[in-house]
Amino acid sequence: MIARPFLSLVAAALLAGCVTHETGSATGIATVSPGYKPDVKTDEAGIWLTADKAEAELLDSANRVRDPAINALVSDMVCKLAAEHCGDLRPYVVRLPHFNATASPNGSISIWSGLLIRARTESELAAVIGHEITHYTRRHSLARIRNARDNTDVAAIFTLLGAAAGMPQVVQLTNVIAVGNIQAFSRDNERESDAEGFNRLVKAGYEPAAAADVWKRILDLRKAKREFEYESYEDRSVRLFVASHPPTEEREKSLRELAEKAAKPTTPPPDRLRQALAGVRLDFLLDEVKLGQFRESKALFELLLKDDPLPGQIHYALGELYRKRAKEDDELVALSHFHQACEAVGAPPEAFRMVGTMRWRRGETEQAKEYFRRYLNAAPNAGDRDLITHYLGS
Amino acid sequence: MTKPFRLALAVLLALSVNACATRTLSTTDKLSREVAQPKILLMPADIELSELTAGGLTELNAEWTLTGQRNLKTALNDHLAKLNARFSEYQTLAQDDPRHDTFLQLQKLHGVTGVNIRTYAFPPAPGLPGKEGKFNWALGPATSMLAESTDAQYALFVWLRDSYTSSGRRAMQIAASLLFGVQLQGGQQIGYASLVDLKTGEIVWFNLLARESGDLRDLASARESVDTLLTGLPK
Repeated sequence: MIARPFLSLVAAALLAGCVTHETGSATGIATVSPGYKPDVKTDEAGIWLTADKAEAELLDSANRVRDPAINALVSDMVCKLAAEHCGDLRPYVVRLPHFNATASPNGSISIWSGLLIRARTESELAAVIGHEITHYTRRHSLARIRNARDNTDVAAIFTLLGAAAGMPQVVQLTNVIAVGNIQAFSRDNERESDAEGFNRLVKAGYEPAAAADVWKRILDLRKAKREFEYESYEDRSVRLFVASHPPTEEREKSLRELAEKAAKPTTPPPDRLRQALAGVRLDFLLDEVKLGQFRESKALFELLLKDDPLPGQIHYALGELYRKRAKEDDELVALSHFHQACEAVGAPPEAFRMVGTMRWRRGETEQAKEYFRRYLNAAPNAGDRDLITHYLGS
Repeated sequence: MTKPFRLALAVLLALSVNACATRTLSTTDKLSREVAQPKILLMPADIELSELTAGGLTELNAEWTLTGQRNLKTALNDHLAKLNARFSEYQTLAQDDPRHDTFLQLQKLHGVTGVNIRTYAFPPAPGLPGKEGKFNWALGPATSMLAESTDAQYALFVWLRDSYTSSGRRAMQIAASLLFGVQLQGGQQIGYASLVDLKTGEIVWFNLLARESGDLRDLASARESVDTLLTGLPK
């Protein structure tokens, strides 16, 4: 019998190509030409239809970020990086707090909020977008679907033969090989996207080192989480076998080598990312807090604090991180971050309210009232104005 | 394909067709006839026609899907005319239309409700404790907005997944049955249809379809599929 759960898992992993997932015309499929649309009779048209449906849902989704500034920036970047394909690509900013971006076969590109707060410069973001654009131009989704079909077909035949010969080992091995082949193919696509994405980055006038830098950051953050320390050698080899993407260390190294050979940009590359994020970043930071990955989030926030123009936001997010973990002395550490937030540039009004509430609970009424007043000063139209006024009057 | 193979296949298919292709839950068997010919609004139908590959992957076929969507509408229109009801189709509003969000949320709500009815309301599922065995599901009063906006009395929701056995898959099926007497999964038609009274927001009829036959790719077969899908629709 065919291992159905196995196959459906594989099928589920197939559709979107993502950054933490798809690289060489190793696929044997031609690059798209501008304005390309597949013939309705082809398997590719089916993939496009699925992608169109997902895009329609995304358009109406509450998770789609509507902020004009960040949307204007990513649209401009996609056009620079995609050159002649600009008109075929539709970028969306999506509120998903993980480091990722995806490109769909029909030209829709999703840029995740978790990526936007991890990229330090516009060039770093451009490196990821360039990678995604390559998934589109090289039609990696189609290649992966065809590859998966071939591999599962062969697996099914060998499963049947193995079962007929009464050799269950053959059956198992066949399916393992299919998954291994499919994932190895996916890793090759990723390498192709890394290489061509890098060319797009350089051609658009961005900083060549940015591609390796962004991966370096991800590695550092993962180490902060001590992910690898807990993973046994065996776990890791299995993971590498089934991984859809090449190891991050390998990607950083190859991109670093490419950057060393590449010409430096003649004019300083644009860096509009921080400004474009002004209206939405606090929400993105607080989404990160909700992930419940204390170590990685703390490492990220501390890294950002080094040169962030709005440290008030970062301190507030750090305060939230400690407050929500609520271990032994966490409340005091949180309170200290909220205080630092209040005195720093970019303090969200909520930081004042948080200090007020925490002090109130500790019985430090006068200090609490001072911060409640500062809160109302900073947010005169706050929805909870009446409640806060009540506190102030008592 | 050779003749004996075809014969073996026909036998297999005949054996596998489920005796009971549809199952219905409803609160009434009559349409409200305040208007002589009630207008039934087809909400954007979620239909996918796919091919089942030899290895068991389901691949969406764009051409079949687009044809299937057209056939469904034609067949539905004719089916409702026979019941002395009017067919109409929901037109998606512009993003900035003040009603857009409400109507979108209604569709999403129905999507979730439909999944719950499918999962919990039909035996062998034990049913949700709070329902006490009753079929009483509703989308709430916001449906009246849809009624006002479209002049319809009912909304019909359709979700359908139709898959067809590829020749490779068929070969696998035959080999599996010859070698082991085992029947591998072939194409299926599964889905549901649901009728909502827009005045009250109640789901008055819900039909579940699951069978290993049926086709939407040509109009004649699509009519048969629609007739089956609408088995027991209030008249």
